Amino acid sequence: MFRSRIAILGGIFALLFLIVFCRLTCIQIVRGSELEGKAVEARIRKQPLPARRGRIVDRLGTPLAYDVPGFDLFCQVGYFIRGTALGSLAGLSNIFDARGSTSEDPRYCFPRKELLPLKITNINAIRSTEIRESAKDAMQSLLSCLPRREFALFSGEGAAGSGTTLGEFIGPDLSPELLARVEDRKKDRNLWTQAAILLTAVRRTSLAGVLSDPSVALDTVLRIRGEEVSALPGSRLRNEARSRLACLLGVERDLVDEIVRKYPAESVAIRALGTLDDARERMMEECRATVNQLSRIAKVSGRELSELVLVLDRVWFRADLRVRSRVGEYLTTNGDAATPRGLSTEWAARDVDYPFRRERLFKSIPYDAVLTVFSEAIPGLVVEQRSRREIRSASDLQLIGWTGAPDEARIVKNKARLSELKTRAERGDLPLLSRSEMMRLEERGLAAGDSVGSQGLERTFEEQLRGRRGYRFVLRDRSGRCIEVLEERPAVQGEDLALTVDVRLQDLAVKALDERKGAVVILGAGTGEVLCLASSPGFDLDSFRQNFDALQADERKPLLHRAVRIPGGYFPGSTFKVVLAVAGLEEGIITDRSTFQCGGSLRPGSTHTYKCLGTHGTIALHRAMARSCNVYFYRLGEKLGPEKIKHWAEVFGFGQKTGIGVYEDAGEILSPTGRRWGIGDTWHLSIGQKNITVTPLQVAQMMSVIAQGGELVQPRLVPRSASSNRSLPDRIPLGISRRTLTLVQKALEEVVETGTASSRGLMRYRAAGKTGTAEVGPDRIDSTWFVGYAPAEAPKVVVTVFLESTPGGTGETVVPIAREMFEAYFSSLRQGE
Amino acid sequence: MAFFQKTQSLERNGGPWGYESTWVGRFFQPGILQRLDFLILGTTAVLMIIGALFIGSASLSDLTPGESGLPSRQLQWIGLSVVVFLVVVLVPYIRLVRWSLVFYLGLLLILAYTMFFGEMKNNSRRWLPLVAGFGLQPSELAKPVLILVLAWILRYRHRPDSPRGLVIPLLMTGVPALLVAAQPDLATALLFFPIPLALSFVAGARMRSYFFVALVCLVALPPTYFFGLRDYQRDRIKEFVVPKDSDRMGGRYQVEQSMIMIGSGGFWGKGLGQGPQNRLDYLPERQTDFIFSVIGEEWGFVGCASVLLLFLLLVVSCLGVALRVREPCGRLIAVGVATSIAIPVFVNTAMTLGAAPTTGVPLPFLSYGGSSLLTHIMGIGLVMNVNLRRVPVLARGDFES
Repeated sequence: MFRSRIAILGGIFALLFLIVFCRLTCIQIVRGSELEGKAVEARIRKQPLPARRGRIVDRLGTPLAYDVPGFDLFCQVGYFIRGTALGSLAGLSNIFDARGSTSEDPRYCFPRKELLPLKITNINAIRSTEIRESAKDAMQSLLSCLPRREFALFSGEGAAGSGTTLGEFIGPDLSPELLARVEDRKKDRNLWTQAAILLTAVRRTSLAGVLSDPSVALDTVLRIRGEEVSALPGSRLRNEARSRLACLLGVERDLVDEIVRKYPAESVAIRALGTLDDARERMMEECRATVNQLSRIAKVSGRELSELVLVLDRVWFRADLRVRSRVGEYLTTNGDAATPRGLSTEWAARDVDYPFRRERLFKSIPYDAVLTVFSEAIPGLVVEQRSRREIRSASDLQLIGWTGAPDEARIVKNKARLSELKTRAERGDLPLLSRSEMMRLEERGLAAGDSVGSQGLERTFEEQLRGRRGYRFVLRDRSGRCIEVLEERPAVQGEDLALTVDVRLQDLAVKALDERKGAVVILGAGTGEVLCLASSPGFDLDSFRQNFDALQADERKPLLHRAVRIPGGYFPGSTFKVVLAVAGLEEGIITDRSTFQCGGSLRPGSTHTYKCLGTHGTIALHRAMARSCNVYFYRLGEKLGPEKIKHWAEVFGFGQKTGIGVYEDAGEILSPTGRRWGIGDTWHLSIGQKNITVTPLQVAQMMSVIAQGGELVQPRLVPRSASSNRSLPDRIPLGISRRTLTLVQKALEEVVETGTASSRGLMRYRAAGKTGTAEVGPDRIDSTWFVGYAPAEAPKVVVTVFLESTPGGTGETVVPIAREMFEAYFSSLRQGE
Repeated sequence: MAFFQKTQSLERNGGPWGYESTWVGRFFQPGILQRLDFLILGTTAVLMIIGALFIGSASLSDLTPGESGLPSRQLQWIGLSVVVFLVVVLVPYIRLVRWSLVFYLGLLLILAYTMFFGEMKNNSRRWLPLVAGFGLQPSELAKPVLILVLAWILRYRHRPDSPRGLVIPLLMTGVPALLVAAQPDLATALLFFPIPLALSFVAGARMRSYFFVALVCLVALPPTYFFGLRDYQRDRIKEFVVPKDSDRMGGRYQVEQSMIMIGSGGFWGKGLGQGPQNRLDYLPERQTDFIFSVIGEEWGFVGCASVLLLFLLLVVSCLGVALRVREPCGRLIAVGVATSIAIPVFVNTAMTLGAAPTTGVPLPFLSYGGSSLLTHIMGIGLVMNVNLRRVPVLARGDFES
């Protein structure tokens, strides 16, 4: 019996081994490749590399908008979950403490000073590949700002061996005092530890409450009883709560366990810390200190305290997700009645995410902070190069526009489409055409964190400006930290956009407008190139960045580009008489000799008087234009009729968008169809008062027709080659006879020589032009215009100056600005551009 | 005290071993080397070497380069275990059996002491710190003591084929098991029970008793599950029965990662120290409970199967010793040791392969940890001891009265 039983026992053991053996075969042989795939998927991740946007430069190559290397600070949520968060936060405190030392410089654009103490050996010694690569990126981009220096030279063998610092490499003129300061600041490392503890306490109450009055949070913590802790659902949550309490009270975890077990009905805090007063006092003390320190960090990091706390709170929120998901589960099954205090369904219902992800702590951290992260390789914190759009000056903003985060819906749509294509590609039934779409989506499709042109030229030329995203295959560890870069394709920077605009004219125009509401448009005659497209009033960058809503609400509408947008509708005034003159001559209604009788006013009925600027008597086209005689053009308009006027206005490009490439208004020309229309309306239309609205750009376009020989040239902001695929032909011959043009040109020269624009020395530039004043009410001057070109015999440039609601005659307001523009243009020509 | 008198008188009259008259002769008997079972010794040594290798491999991490100290510490433990092995081999096992009740009572005392004054780790008191950072888990040491005391009881005190059958051995196991379960360390406590069951079975317990025990267990299971277990224990069982995808960082995460590691090893494995999942730290605790996963990744199917075969060989040779030895106590000891190796091997490997719940049961001879190593070396020592001293016994059958 004994032997047989031993044999049976041996059989049982053999059976157990057989089971394990079968399972082993199943996993390693049968499912081997599947599990290998899973392993690869877990450890190798494709990371996109964001591309820099192209620059926008003016015709001389001056950058107007450009990306500068910026560094964003990310934290990896996985680290915070694994409980090393305190160390990382301590590291954070170093970063912002170091930041305090150079806070005077608000822009950190090219602060090469801060990177000087770094040696290439320091960087090579950084353990994390990712941080090392970013450090190199940073140094490289810094060195590229310096003339004739190459990063390769610095990182080459000679420098690496000798331990030259970047400072020594660049030159002796900069001081290395910064490192000493960083060293000093390392001493109070535990600052953030305390901050973290406070935030833990805050978890149970509202954040704002704690900041205003820490005792609110304390009371909540002080009231936690042992039985509440043991009543939490799920052991993990309970353990978490106990650890939190231990951390919060600064006592051993075992002690908390013991109190929870032995004194379920009593407050854990009081049991752990003594009497109520003792406990309150001790915790108050800690909290006060922490709030003070938080404020200090907030101050040196240039951020609001509440913002700082919220950012950190978000990080901690991620760290809490595991607990929260548990609570959420519990709450959905048990209902709100059983909710432990301080935990709500809303709190728990937020999305649960896998810890392999990053959370952005701060955008554009200063370089010395980058240095701290690099040199200490703080776990869980990652610096990533994310370029930041800088703009030359705020006056360019209205034209260039700005970038912003892309529309959430578009990101989601892109993502969905991309993943659909990817699954199809994996199945292998992806047509070639869609393959290129997939490539395009991967490289250029919008993703979270991108910035995309949201206004102005940034938006129009988005396709050109946006670069191609690169990617990087990285090996990563359990918590998502990059260990090694396996393969990398660098991102491709977007193309530069060269504008036809000349910043000197642009700046001068803005200065000349002097915050009055108005616009200046300068076109190259014959080419249609926009040399200047300025609008006023402007705004400064600070208020743009911080007070955008206020800017939008401002009733002076500074965000509006007045050269192309018409907030209420601008009337062209007497400048429209140019169109009338051409129309009259071309339709054969008048010749240069035909005259009308001006009696100073017209009075069709008893109600309204249609005035002229003076009593001109018998007047022909030439003098009517120079003196801007209204009655002449009333009569001309009357003979033409509103339909003809409208036709000719449209021929000159009014009522349609010019297609310049920024968001613009088309303007409107009214006509009698379907409307009550009297003779007075025709008269108004004839002299550009009422019934027609235009933009300054359209007026400039009209004048350039006269200036360069009867062709409508589309104004353009980018040179011809760059803006190729326009459906409109950019040059339309209007079929205006040579004779008509000469007549009108002579009349316009007369305006400058003897007429309404003669007083301000425009003659010096042999200019021709027309002034205009649109009156809306009896005493309110709505808009004043000057539009002209020079030199009269071979026009090079068309200048349009427009001012809104500015008192004073055209001679005092717009003509001097025009003169300045001509002066600037011709003097820059003399300098040979 | 009849037992003591009996054995003592045997010894005084020249003992079962006639050559015990000198002190040296007591320990070194003629022909001792011929009787050493080199198969068992060799298998054990190979397993320990593989263990040390893979503890070294599991300490290679791309994240925290540098010495982790674990491999050298394991080598120290191996050195200590050789000493312990020699001691256990040299003292005649009959003496150990004779003193087993004393060991047993001592064990209970130590377990009780650990319960109150042990070192707190991961929420339970399992450790007794010794000198220089070395610590012991008394719950592990309970196994050889249990084997000895059960052999003694089944041989001299109790008839396993009596109507009460398994009750006495199970009770004897139950007392230390309760103490261990209260630490709390349920898995280790549960792993005590195969020993009395196997020993009684071999000693001739009735099959009826086994059915009765099974019935009692079935009836007692639900109330125990709901009232006797702690939350985390319940959670683990739940996780095993109904795995949840959402809980990717919990116990399920470990098993998932372990399966991925073993599976990605394929047939030949990635090579010692070359496993990417191992080096990237994807599986926590891989030096101890999940050492088999590292072997799976780096040596593949070939390595895992070899390790399993080595264990099977070891267990079968222990049972072979039991068959060869005529003395009942020795037989029981050999059977007990075979059980105490086979069951943890099964539980541990099945866990790493995702076929059993996550428990903190180490893999004998391979996992990092001194207590487990010492325990199993003691077991091997006992088997060698039995094999060396084949006491001639006059009996009618194997276990007949």
